Amino acid sequence: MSLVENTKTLKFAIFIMSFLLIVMLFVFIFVIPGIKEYKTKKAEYISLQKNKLSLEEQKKELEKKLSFLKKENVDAIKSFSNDFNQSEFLLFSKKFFENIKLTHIKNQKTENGLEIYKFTADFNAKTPIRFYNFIDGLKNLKSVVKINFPIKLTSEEKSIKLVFNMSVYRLKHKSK
Amino acid sequence: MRSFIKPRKKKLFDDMTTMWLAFIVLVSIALMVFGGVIYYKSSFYIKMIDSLKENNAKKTYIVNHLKDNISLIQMQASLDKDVKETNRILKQSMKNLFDLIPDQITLTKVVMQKKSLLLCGYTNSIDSYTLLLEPPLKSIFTKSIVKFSQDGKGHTLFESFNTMDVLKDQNVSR
Repeated sequence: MSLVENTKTLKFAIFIMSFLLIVMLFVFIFVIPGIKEYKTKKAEYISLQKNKLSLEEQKKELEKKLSFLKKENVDAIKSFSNDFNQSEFLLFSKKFFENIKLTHIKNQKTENGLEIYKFTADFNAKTPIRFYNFIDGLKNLKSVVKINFPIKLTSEEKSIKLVFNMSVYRLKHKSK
Repeated sequence: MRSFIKPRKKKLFDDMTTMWLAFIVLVSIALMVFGGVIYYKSSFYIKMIDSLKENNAKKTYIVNHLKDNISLIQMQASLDKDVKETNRILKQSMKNLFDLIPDQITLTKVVMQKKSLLLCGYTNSIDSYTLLLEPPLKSIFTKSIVKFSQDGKGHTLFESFNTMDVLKDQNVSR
């Protein structure tokens, strides 16, 4: 082999080597990290997109459920949002009892925004039937009123003295 | 000495080398462009991811708000139902109590607690109480204590204290 041919082969080998080296360098510096980042970002994008769709679906379902619940419990929601009108309550009680006296004991607040007003009612009734009718009538009141124990009934000359506790519920923050 | 031919311009690289160098440069540029395109695409996704994240955070907030509202309404609905039911049961238990009292017995005082009942009144004879009132009371309550006394007008006064233990109460409520 001549010297010229030898030099050519050597040159060829050097070029091939340097070509491979440069290509590998570029591949390792630009292409592989780029592809890696591209893949992770794409995966993140797809998962976020899925998340978005599921959230949209959830939102739709919840909105549907909320409007259904609002429609179904419109009276209950109204009763909880109303302020307790003591004079109105006394007026209502007068239909059933005499010597009406309502004493406010305390207010209680719960974690979920409920305010409970506690009262002691001191009423006189002619018959216990009046008390039954009073309990039935509570359903139609604008507020949520619960009769609590203890209930004391004492017979007096012409009537029955009734002393019982009651709780009135009100929701502090209204649902939008 | 003088030569008759013009000297050839000597190239910096021979043809083979130029070709190789051009090839290498071209391939490098192609790889860089490829890398650039990938980075550009990634940056496009990054932008989209940012806006999606913001969007999803807003939607999560709305969803949580809706959930809160739903649980609030459910709480109101169940409490309202519970209050109505408690009042109804209370009325019914009072009715039942007064239905238990026979004509021979007159009540003067009733104290109803959640798990106990105090009855005070008078009757013509102890037998009226023990025969007519005591059995139903014993069937409802687990413990029934009664004290009798005379009032001087020929009436027998009684004071009956009845309690219900938790186990029995649970069985009754079932």
